[in-house]
Amino acid sequence: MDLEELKNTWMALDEQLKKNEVLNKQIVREMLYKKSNKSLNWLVNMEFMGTILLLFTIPLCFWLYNAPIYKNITAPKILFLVAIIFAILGVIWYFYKILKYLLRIDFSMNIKDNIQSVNEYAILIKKEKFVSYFIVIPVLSLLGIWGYYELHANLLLWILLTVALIFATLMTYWLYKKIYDANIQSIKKSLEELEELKEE
Amino acid sequence: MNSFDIEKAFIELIQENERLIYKVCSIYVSDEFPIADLYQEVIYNLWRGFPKFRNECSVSTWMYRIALNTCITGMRKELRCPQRVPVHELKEYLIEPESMEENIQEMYELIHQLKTLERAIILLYLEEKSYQEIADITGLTLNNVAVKLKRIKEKLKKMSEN
Repeated sequence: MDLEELKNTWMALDEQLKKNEVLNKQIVREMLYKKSNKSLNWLVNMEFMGTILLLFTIPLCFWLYNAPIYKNITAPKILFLVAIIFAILGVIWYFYKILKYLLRIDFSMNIKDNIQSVNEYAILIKKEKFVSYFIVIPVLSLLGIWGYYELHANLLLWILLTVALIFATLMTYWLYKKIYDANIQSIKKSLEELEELKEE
Repeated sequence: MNSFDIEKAFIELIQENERLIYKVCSIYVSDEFPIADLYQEVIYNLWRGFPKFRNECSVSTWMYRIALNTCITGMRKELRCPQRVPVHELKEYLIEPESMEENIQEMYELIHQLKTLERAIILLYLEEKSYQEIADITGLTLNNVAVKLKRIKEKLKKMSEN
């Protein structure tokens, strides 16, 4: 099929569609009001929720840091201090993602800019995943273990900590998988396209 | 304009341009994203953008931008929300590209082999948009549009030869 044939077929399709117009007012109305798939808004809300959770973590850890029970024990104090630092960095990171990328995606703007914003956001999520899996979770886990060791925790508490760590890791994995569902292949494909655009 | 008038104007606009929306969605149909889902998503994003539309560009340019952006970027997995409420009637009314006449199916098979942005460009070309309009909608430069179109034509030729 050459280009001329393609054009003719396209026109034939147009003619067929003219005969087959389907949208009545009711269907359009239903589409407007039945729709719950506000993907971008939903994602922005998720990011805001993450920010609020982290903001709550800061005073909680600060209070635990100053709790009399941990007065002369180093490990828990370091754990809460590190948690505060992670939470502050996390809040900054979340705001950066929302303001710099998510709120910049505007469907009435041109396609190239939107593809770029989506791809940059997806790359950030990949980096965030890496930091969560290989820095945040291991560091907090090690500090937790150290704290329990210093506190001479009993077997039950050790089991509790192990379960909590496994749960936290699985929860993080599930959250990334389910919420962001970062499809590396699709990002790679889009990046290749963007590279092509830059080259030309 | 009150909300009733806005809704009325919007519905009229959609009815006048339903073929445009169908054509954009049809070139991005996949197993994962059936035409009814894409169509519904595009209508929803048009509705969201409608109050902000200020006639800074033509209605068709605005509609192509939103429709293409939705199909290319909005349906990506990382931006997608798992819950959706499909309009069942829509599925019944919209013809899937694969159930059309043989030559139309063949055309779609060729177009579906192109990359996402290439599909947008060939669609606008087939819709007889000027290079300037294609550049406005996609955000590419005029030169870039010309180079890309040339490559797409060569690619299509090769594909149909094979």
